[in-house]
Amino acid sequence: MPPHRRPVTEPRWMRVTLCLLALGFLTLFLALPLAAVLGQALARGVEPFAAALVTPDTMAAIRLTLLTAAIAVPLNLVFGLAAAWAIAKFRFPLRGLLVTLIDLPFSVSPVVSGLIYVLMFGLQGWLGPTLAAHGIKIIFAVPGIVLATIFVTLPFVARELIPLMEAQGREEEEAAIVLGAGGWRTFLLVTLPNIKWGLLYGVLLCNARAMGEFGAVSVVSGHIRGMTTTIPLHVEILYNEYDFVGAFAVASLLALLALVTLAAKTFLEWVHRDELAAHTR
Amino acid sequence: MSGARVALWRPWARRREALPGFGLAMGLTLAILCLVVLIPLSAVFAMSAGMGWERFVAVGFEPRVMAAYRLSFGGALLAAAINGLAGLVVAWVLVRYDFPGRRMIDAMVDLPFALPTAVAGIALTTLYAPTGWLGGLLEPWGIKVAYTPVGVVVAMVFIGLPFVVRTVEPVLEELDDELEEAAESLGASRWQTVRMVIVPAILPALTTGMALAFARGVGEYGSVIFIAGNLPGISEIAPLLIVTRLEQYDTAGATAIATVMLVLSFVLLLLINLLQRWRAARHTAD
Amino acid sequence: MIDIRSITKRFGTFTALKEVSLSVEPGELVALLGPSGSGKTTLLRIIAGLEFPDSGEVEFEGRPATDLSARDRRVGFVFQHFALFRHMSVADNISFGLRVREPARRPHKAEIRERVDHLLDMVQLRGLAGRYPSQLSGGQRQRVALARALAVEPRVLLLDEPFGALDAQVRKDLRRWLRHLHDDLKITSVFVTHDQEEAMEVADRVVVMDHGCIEQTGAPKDIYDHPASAFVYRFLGNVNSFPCVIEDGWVQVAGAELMAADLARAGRREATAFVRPHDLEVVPLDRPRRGAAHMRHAVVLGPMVRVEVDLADGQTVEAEIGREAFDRLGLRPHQPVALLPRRAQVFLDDAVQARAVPPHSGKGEEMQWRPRSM
Repeated sequence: MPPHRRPVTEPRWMRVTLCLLALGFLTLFLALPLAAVLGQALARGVEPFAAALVTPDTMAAIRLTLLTAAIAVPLNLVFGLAAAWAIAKFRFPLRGLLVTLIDLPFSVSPVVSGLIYVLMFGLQGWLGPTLAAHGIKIIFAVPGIVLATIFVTLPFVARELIPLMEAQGREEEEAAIVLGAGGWRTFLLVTLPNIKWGLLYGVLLCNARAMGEFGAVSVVSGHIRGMTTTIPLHVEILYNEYDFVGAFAVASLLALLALVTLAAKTFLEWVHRDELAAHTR
Repeated sequence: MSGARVALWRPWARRREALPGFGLAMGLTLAILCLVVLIPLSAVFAMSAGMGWERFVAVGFEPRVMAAYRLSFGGALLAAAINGLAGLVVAWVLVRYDFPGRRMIDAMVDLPFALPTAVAGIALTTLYAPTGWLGGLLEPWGIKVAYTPVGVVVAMVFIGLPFVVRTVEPVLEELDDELEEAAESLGASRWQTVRMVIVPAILPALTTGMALAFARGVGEYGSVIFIAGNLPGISEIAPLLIVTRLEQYDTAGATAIATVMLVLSFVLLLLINLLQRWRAARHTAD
Repeated sequence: MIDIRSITKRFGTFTALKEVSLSVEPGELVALLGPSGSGKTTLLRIIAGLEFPDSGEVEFEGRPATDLSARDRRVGFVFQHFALFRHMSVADNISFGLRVREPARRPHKAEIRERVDHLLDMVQLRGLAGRYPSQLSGGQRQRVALARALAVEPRVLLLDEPFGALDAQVRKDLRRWLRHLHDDLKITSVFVTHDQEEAMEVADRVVVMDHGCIEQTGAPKDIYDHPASAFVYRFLGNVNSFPCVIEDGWVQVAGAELMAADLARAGRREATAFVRPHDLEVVPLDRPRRGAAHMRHAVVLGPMVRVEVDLADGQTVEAEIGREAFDRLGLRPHQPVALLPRRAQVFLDDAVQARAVPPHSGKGEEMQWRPRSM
């Protein structure tokens, strides 16, 4: 929605100054870093850029990232749907507390998010020795990476769906039940079509975070090249080895993912605005 | 069944519901929440409790750790303040004025949410390094950003910006034009209107946004560690120190720092919830 | 058809229904009438199986239905805000209940289409089958909701504030239309409303509810003429209340003494008398006198005139008199007047009530009045 013309506003010089200030600030903090990624990636031309992308380690990192997202995102989808169904369609004691607990992973430092799994499953942790005895490796291995990713992305789908489903109420579901539909059919035929854009929105944000998470994954990964490095971790390794073209080439993949996510998100907000929850955080 | 049943409020009694699926949905929610979030989080507190108070204080509050807290909290506070001001201006301009590319710029505000932190980290470092585009400009003035605490604040400003803009924007949008017109018709100058009518109306949202940005800044890791330089006692943030301790197999040290940060997160979460209740109260009072 | 026996329902500490019992006969059109919070919607939802009572029984056609889920009750429910499936066309909305049946009981596609067409004709929406709810007016949505509920051939039709979300004019038309539809279909129906006019106009029988209890049940006319309690009397229409003194079967109300045979043995006591505006006569006085009422304001409403009168104690009451009578009386603002109730209702408590009338009631002899202040 374009802002409508207001009869009461600031003098022109003030408006121009404020616009310039805002744009300057955004350029400094948003546009320039993005430009820096692409600039550095292509600093030596296209060929080194392409070469950096097809190294076996990079390909392994991409595969691991896709695998992680492929597990974490569907799980969060199920969690988000279940949580939203219970919280938005029913009233029960301590409902507010449950909503706060679901949001908890967002207020925990990513490093702490990784640490808690080290304390649970690491060699000095609660279950570590038992697991090691059975030859199960979670920390410094793929399961740990997946677990940490699930933790940091857990709230995304739920927090998008809860306000949306709450606003929609439960009358349509009740109508379906009275008309003789069962629980699953009611969900599939009535609830799901009403929340599909909100669901997609949540999944989109969840996926972006799942693929881009750095701190939590870094703690549990062990940084074994080609084995337990996701794309963001691979960027760090290349950067610390002073392979700047390589680091920025791989980073540009993630930047591209971010831009695509933003574009899709903006498109959804634009076209299906009334089918999304309020975007206040 | 007799009607003379005693009127007891039994919160956990099984109530018949017309809509099915509560049990399944709730069970799934609680199971995943407990397994993924609550039990692992409690491991930190259990580990700390097992440490004993004296040991906890010794490793959790030693000088190097204190310096890290100071940098994490101080830097995040400064970044939140900068974001409060800059975010307000950005939100104001995006909501109130029309100019070419406004929609796209509005969408770009979410970039720090979408861009992986490691990418942001190396990009900011490259920009602000003495050889970088911005670092090179600042160098002659003797201003160093990369590998100093200033760099830490820059990364925290980047990461916190969308929180302020996105909480203030909707409130500014909903602000009734008539309020301002009423103020002006009552003889208020533009500045008085802004100060006495608009700012109080958006203050709860602005505070919430700043608190969210602060919370994010304190825990931030990926975008900070590249630009910080990580000199112990000077530009080393608390989350990095947790990683360092872990790499030194000092689980106790890592746990102690993590506990302090977790407690702070919970306090902040409580504060933000209270702020949001304040906002809600404002809203219904209108 | 529907038997409800001493149902109690609580939400937390709030008691929505207290020991409510009610029977609905086959083919009847019953209105549940009451203010918000009176429990009428909860009762309707319990009949539908959308809420379950804490105690008490529900029976359908003599068979227990208390524990039957909404899905298995075969009721049609029209929601207050219609609850149309917003992503389905009108035809898909109407056929939903048929399409979700298990394959063995599901009609053929052609049969479903035929049933939908028939229902669309019935609710006068032929040609709108492909529209979506957002493309319909309020009245049209209401009729789609009704058609959807009727499509499954329910045993009972339940309507929650069926006209609540509509404009005044549409409301009136739909009201009449619903009455005619019921006369044609003869389906047992219960609807909830807070509008007494709506209940009186549409229903065969009105159930007045307040604070989770049924205050009175009866045909509209009976309820209006013989209200069982002060609440019902007040709720059924505009009413003026006067403090009054009862002595030996005589009730002193405003400027008149009325006779209430039922209260002959009540002794002397103070109570409140209720007088409907159309039962209140306004008589102009020549000179102002102490304690007299004063005419305040008159509003012409078509053939009637609503006269507002200030009593000596500052209270304002309303009287409704015919246009002709008003012109004849020549009432002017600030003019001192006497008020003569033609009929009043006195409620001492729930048990004792009485209608008070002039000594030679019904003859229209105004001179029978003994205005107290003369």
